[in-house]
Amino acid sequence: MSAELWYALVGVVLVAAAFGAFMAHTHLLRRLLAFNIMGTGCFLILVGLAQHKRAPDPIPQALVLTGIVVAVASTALALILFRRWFAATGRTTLPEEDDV
Amino acid sequence: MNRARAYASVALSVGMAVMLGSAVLTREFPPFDLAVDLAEGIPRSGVAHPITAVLLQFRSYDTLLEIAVLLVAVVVALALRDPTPADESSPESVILDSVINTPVLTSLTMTLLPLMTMTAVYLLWAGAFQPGGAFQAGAVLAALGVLWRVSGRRTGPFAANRWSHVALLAGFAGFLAAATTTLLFGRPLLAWPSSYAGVIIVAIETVLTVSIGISLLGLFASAPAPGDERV
Repeated sequence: MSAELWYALVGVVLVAAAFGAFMAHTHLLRRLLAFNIMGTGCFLILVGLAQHKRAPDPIPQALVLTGIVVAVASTALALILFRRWFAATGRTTLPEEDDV
Repeated sequence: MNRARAYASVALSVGMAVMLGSAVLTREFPPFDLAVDLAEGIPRSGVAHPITAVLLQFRSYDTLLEIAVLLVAVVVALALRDPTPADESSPESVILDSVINTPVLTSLTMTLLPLMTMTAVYLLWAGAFQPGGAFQAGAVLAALGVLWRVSGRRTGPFAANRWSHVALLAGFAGFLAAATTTLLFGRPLLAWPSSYAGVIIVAIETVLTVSIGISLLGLFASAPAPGDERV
């Protein structure tokens, strides 16, 4: 198995596992963590798969760099929203259909 | 966690793995080699490092939108702050804030201030020819700002005032101004003339560094402090 395929498959496992965790948990922080790991898996697939003569391809690398900054900004915003939500309601999960 | 939910999650997770894995394994290879095209384009990009060239020359539209996303996130975060904040200068607000008031942190911050500023400037400058650039430098500045705030200082370069709002906006505004100025000279959006490209890219990166640093710090600072959680 070539190195780029190995990176991409590890990325696939990360995305799938984090997707499962995202569905399984309702605690907002766990969901945010799962979502971040899912994003990291996507980045790993993008950078790992696109290799050029055994060196990373700069174009997906630059796109992933952009993606990381956006991910950091949205994670920070989500954390602020969660803390406001916790301060306002004292809950760590969003209301579900069956317990409204 | 209820049982049905757990089973459904595992099933969907496995399905996701199979779909993504087969997509990766059966991918088709493009008939062109972008890395070769990029290597040929580097001399006319104005910078020597391929990633910086992609970020601020060949795919600068992405970077422009990225700064816009960062700005939107900070504006939303600032809008979500407590509507009735304590007066910035009153002692209560300092107590409520996540301040760690020890001489170790205070003196460490003063020692790190020049070092981290220098690191940020170096990273910014290095971006032209090796890994580095506005985002890395901005992240170092933001870390410095977080240290500055956590050690209890509300004044100085990281205070929340009108100037920090100007700095927040400067990155996107400056980038957008540079992007649209090319239209005045009959060139497409974001198409810098190659003779000035190096200067324009360094100027944009410098403004971006300050804006990114202030934005990330703003996101940190607008989270409610731990003692402020009313249930």
